[in-house]
Amino acid sequence: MHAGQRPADVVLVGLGAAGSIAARVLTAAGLRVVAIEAGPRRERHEMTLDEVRNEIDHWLCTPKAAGEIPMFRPDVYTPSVTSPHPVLMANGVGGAAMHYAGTSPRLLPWNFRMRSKTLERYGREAIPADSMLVDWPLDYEEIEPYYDLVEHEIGISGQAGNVNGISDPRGNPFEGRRGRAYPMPPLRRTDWTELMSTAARQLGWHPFPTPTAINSQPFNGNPACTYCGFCENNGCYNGAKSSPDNTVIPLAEATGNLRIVTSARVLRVEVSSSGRATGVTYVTNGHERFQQAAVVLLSAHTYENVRIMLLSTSRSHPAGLANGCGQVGLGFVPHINPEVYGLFPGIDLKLQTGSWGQGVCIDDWNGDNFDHGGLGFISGGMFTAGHELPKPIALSQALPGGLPRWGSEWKAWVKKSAKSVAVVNAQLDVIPSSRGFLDLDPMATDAFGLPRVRVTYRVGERDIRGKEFLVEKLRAWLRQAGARKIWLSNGPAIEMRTAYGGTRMGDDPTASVVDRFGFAHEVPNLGILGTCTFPTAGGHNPTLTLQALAWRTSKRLVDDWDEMAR
Amino acid sequence: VSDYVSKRLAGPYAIHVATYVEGLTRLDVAARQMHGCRFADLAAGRRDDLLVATEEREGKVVGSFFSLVLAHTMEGMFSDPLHGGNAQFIGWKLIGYTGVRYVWTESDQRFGATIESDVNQSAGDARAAMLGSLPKTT
Repeated sequence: MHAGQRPADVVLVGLGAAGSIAARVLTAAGLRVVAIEAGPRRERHEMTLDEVRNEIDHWLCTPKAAGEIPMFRPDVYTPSVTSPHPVLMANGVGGAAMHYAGTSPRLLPWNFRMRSKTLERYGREAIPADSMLVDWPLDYEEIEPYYDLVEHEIGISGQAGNVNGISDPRGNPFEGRRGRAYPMPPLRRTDWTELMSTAARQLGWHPFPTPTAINSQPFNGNPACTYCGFCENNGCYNGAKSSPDNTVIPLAEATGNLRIVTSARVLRVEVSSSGRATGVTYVTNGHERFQQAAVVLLSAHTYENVRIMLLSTSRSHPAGLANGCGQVGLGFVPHINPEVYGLFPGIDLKLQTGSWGQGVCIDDWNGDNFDHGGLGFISGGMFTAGHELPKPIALSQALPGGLPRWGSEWKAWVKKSAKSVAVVNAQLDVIPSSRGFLDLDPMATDAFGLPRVRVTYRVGERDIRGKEFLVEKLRAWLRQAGARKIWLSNGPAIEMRTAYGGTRMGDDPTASVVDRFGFAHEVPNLGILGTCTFPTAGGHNPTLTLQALAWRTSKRLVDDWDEMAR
Repeated sequence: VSDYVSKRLAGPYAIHVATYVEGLTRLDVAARQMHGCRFADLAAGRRDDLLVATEEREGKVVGSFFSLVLAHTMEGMFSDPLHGGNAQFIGWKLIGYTGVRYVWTESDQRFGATIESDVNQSAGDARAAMLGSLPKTT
């Protein structure tokens, strides 16, 4: 029998942060799961401490994604080009969660009620005309138990700020009420984290240790972090990162209910004459295969989930899967992540030791944690200062304005100052609008001759105001800590590695793609996992939230299996 | 650094070979017009002048000859020596980077800490030193 011919209860498309949580929950309930993963399996010994391999060659992203980088255009009048903004879709068992830095905050309760809370406090004029701002169809209280499950299942290191309503000044005072503290204390504190914490407190802000999916102590059979400083764009050499390959995937496989098909590329979701999903067609080693399943869960990156849906046209879904109301692709937003550098004269900061998660965060300028009256924008973003960055190659060009980029003056600068340069960043919550959407590019194809996804996105005026506001606060933070020269990086204007929307979640089937549990309004046995379902982006790293939502979708499936899979 | 660039042009940067050939040819043409000899035979100061002129013309253009050469030179100078550049850790020593380690201790991370031994390990050295000392993984 060919691989893939035995029917499954659930087929997962992509085994990254979202799909692996689903695999864990579904297999534990006794469901037979087949996961189709575009990349290979990776081994810990492959993870090396090498900036060229990790940050320049992006070796974890090459097998499939390199030929499928989304096309990009700022508006419908401009021809598309291969995205000039970095888009990293890692392939492999563990997905992009293998190579993320692991920053794992929860969204703020406000994020789930962004539209109604904005109207309540600032009135209608605070919402721009082209905005697609909505409330989420669920509240923080509904997702809280799933945040808790994920934090304790994979292992998050951090300092709680609000356990059952009891606040702890060492944690984030703005976080929603949580049922339990983190399962591990924060990663080790350093001179750098304490310098930045002290500076923040002097400004009246509320610093807290970065919540991170890295073990600060041995956890569930995996060792503690050794602070090598090569987390970003790399997997973990000793398994201390709580990525799926080190945590939930081995547990799911141990049940005997998970079969993983690697290096297999899904072409489309197949449907019955009544429009229900019947399975997926994929290609491996040049052969097309069909995997039948009672339920299909799309758990690839936003760009791929949307692409597969638009490619899956049929008589019952002529405009693409679950796209009867033209909602697939709408509501796309990236993050805008300003980075600010600071020079701390005469201090050897030792930032190239340790990980980015070994850091300190600030939520004072996120969500509605400050008064936006008269500012001309809403929301904000979390700030982070951490170790690991900038790495040496990046550091060589992290130069203040006016300095040559090479030659003797440049050399004198890097010799004297490189070890004293630090970077802090913010993640701006960008408001969804009619300026951002995804569709198929009619001009660009991948190695299979299939259209690549096309991003249309232009930064709005209010987003620019929000960014400039955050940059001023980042500058103030560095200045307070003792930085004497402060400058904005020339990094990407748009952070497209994080991509929200495209299959937004909502109660109205004509204005969203999936329901509050992540199942398509038009195809009840099709679930969609990942940031593509987020109605709004939020000013935090999204991974923990998408993992919590994946758990909730899976729980729904297990609880109502007979109805969902009929 | 030139070893790094040659290695990369023969591998992942093969798509940039044409830009390099065109850019280097243009530098030679300019050198002959202005000084009557090849670019490589110019005195260092004159070479720099021509490079500055090139940078002013195209330095901010993504994918231009100058921006590629600058990026690849920095990569060569500050990457792990296993890629062919940063010979004897010259780039890392310049910026005070103490090299690759699997383990950094609390005291290693203090501001200004001096790293006593194994200064400037490459990824390959660190790996060789570590292998066998780690628990076997599957």
